[in-house]
Amino acid sequence: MKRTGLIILGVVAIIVIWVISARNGMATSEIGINGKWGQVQTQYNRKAKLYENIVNTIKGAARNEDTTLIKIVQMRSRVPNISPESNPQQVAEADKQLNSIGRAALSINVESYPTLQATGLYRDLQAQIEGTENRVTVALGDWNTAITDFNTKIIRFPSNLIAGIFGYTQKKNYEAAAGAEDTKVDFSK
Amino acid sequence: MKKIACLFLFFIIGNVAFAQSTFNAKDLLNPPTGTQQLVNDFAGVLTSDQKRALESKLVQFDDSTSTQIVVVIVPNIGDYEIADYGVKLGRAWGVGGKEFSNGVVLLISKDDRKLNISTGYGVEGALPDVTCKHIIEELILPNFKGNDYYRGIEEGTDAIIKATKGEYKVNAKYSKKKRMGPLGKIILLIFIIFLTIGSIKGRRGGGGSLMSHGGAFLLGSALGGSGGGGSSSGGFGGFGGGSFGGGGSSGSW
Repeated sequence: MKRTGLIILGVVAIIVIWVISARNGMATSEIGINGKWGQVQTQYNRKAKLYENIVNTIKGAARNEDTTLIKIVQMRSRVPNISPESNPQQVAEADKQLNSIGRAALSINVESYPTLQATGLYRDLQAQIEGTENRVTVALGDWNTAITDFNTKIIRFPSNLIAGIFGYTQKKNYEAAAGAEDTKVDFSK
Repeated sequence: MKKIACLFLFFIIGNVAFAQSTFNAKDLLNPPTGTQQLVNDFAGVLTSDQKRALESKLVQFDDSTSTQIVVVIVPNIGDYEIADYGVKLGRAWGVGGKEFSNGVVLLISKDDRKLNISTGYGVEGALPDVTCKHIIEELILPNFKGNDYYRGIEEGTDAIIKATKGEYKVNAKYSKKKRMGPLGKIILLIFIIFLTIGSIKGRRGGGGSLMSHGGAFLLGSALGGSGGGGSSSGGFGGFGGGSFGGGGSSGSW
């Protein structure tokens, strides 16, 4: 009698330990997603700042040209923001907008000042844009991987039971907005 | 009969040529096996003397600053984008130390005529994207255009070394931690052998099979490890687990 009691106690203890560890695993995974999100945000802000600087540089150079200036001011007000609440779709949309701003700024730049393309400044800008694009891509990729890991974790049996109890649901993955390739900054123009 | 033999020969030659040309870029993106050096030439563009000269320069830099610069020359990178591949390779191999992520990957894809410098998180400050771009365009590309790979890599790595020189100092533990001396290996081996023998004896008396498995496994991995380390005696001590975030620059010639 005492023996069966001990066995039941043992089994219950094992189940409780398993539930706790499964629950903690999910929590860790979710925190991981937040950490990766922080990286996305950092790199995205870096990109936005860079584009703002580019716009400012051009503004300085194009002081006398009213139409260019108006366009640039319009662009500046359109630099999109993202927040931790942004869902992946909004992030994709913001990124697309930012890309088109950068592209527009650069094409104004080059169209008005053909000689500028040959200067070191322009080449350096190219290198910076390329680097910042890569960083955003890597950060988004890591974030996406973290989301996929989390989703895998909570969908597999039997941990999906725990996920149900604690209210963990599937998170949406990041998808590049349709036509995202078109907004690539094109230096040949 | 002669015809068949001829055909057969053709087939073999074709196969060998094919085997040489099928370099799979994806296979490189695995954790290091211990055969990796700081200079890895999969495309055969460097002579062994050139490779040795570069290797010793980079090993010395690694030993004195803990910053790891790895040169990887591949025939092609498949469907990957060059910057993406550089980051993936740097992460997979863990170039640079874990604490500072101070690794640099100089990746050259011969047939694509593309190259990339990827910087670890820790060297993004010392080696910003613009500097990478300048190194590529002013030092490496002119040489590559003239088919002088060695000189391009030589001058490129010199510039990277110059830029990252003052960034990190090697601490006293670094070279000790990296390479376990032969004495340490022997002691470890003896310990594991004792463990294995002990557990086998224990199993005779019943139980302890898990131990013997563990011991045998440890023995195997220790032997494997020492074999890998032995081939590069006095040379490169292995990668440290650094990470990459997309910094750097690319170019093509």
